[in-house]
Amino acid sequence: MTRRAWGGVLLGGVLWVIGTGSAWADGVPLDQVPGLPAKTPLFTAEQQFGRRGKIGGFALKPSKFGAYWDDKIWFSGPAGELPKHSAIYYRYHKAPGIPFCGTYLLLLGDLSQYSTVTFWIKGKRGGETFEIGMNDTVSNKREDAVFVGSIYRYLPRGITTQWQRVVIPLEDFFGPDLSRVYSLVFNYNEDGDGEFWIDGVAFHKQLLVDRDAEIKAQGYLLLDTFDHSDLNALGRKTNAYKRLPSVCLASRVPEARHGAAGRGLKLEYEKAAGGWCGYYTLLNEIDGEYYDLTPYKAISFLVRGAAGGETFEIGMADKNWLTIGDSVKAGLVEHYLPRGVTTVWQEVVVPLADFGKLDFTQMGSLVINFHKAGRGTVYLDDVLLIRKSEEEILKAWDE
Amino acid sequence: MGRIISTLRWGMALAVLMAPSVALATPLVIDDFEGGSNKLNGHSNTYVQEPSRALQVRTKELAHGGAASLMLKYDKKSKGGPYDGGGWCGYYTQVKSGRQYFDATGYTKLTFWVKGAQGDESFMVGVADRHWDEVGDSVKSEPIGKYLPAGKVTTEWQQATVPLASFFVDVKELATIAICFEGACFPTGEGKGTIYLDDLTLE
Repeated sequence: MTRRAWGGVLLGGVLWVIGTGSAWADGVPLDQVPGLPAKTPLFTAEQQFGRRGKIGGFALKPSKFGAYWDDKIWFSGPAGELPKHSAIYYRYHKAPGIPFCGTYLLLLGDLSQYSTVTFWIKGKRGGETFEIGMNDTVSNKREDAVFVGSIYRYLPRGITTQWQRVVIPLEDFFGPDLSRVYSLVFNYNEDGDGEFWIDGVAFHKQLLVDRDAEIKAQGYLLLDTFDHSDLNALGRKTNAYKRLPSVCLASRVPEARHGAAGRGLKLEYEKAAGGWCGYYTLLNEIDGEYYDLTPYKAISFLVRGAAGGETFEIGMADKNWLTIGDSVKAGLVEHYLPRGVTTVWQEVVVPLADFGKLDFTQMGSLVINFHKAGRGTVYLDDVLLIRKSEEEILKAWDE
Repeated sequence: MGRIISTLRWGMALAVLMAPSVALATPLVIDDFEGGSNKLNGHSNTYVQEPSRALQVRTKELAHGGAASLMLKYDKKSKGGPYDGGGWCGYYTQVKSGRQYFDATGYTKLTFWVKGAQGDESFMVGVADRHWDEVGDSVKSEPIGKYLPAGKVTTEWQQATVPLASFFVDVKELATIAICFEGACFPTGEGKGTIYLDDLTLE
């Protein structure tokens, strides 16, 4: 196979290979994506240094990054059919605490006609991890990319030492102006070191992921494992909420995990006579679409207490309740755990019917609300949304 | 008044005759209901206002082509809800992708296959362009019988052919196609039933 036959284009020192008849070929490479619309406002520095295909990074010491084009390790195609070219090589050292680091790939393009971005990835040791984000030409100026979650959202088994294809629906990037995309951002949010390669970035008009079908097939949506990102599996924000003097601190830590690896959610609360506190995970896009829970019948999560005997309410909010900043409570956790919260992991299953007359077509959040004065610590893991079977959907209609 | 309307009709007919010819596009299957979402990356769902209700299931119970079709159950009420109008119900599928409206220039009709569980079920087709999308509504066709060979929904598969021109929308910026169980579809203003749809296509 000659370079000419593959239609390779030299861009930024790398050969972006366009093939036909391979998994690589069903999209277009970056050089074929339309450029930014005319008169897109750009800072002088963006005009001078921003170049499509450019890679780089950012770090606060002692965190560090490395980014260069590697012509020794590259993806040779599903059948080894691709000619020699270069791949992106990223390396990071994320120090504990505040010091951050990340890398980027400048796109400088109008992606509004595309639905999916794909690329191939391979780690040096496996287990490398990062959050994926996007900057449009506005957010780039305030250095505020929109992140859609961890790489584990798109590769559930994580990065390995084998080449794997990452498929990301562009609709996940809710917020950026897709007609004025500046960059893809890789944020190293977990402490440690890693090295990996990215190759064959391509853009597709087709939506290559059928998430509804995947959820339907497995019978549930794993909303959060708390392992790799503060965002849940829908890419939505999660956090503690509080009104003084009540407080709650949420953290994702190994000590809170269920199982041998990963992290769990640790909630440390101190509920006073006044104020309120708890934790939420959003189901809706902020200023965007709400989530349709009508195909689901229950939520499930694992819980244990640091001392046992901890208590909380389980709430959900639809669009209306989210607007007023409150939620409907299904009841106390003890209602679903006859022995209450103990120091041993237990599964809580809450039928959505227990939340009463919410608008399940427009759901906003799931809430853990600490209602009873006192302090304590609870651990949560593996939040699931359990789907109705087709039979259950039809039965509910007839009833 | 009748003369004015008649003149308008002739004027519209002339306008159609004199319109520049547009190259016809190859048929585009919007949804064959085999997967969890449509083929244009758009969301699909029911829309309901109580007390009316609707349910959509991509089912393998029946199919015209492939292995699956869309089952729509509807229960349109005539009383209750806003303005005591019985609320509303139906199904929509987005042909826009994010902020990108769909340019249907070159397509002249919307086709799909339909059959009823009992026969005599009825609905209208709705189409929304950017304007109608922004107000959350759509332009409705006439009851579906007009577009079916048998003149009504039966228990056999029939192909419905609905001219896009009948919607008077901006086909360069289509947003949504809908199946609307409107009160006007039913003699008493209310109706309940099950229909199956397959291979929603722009031709």
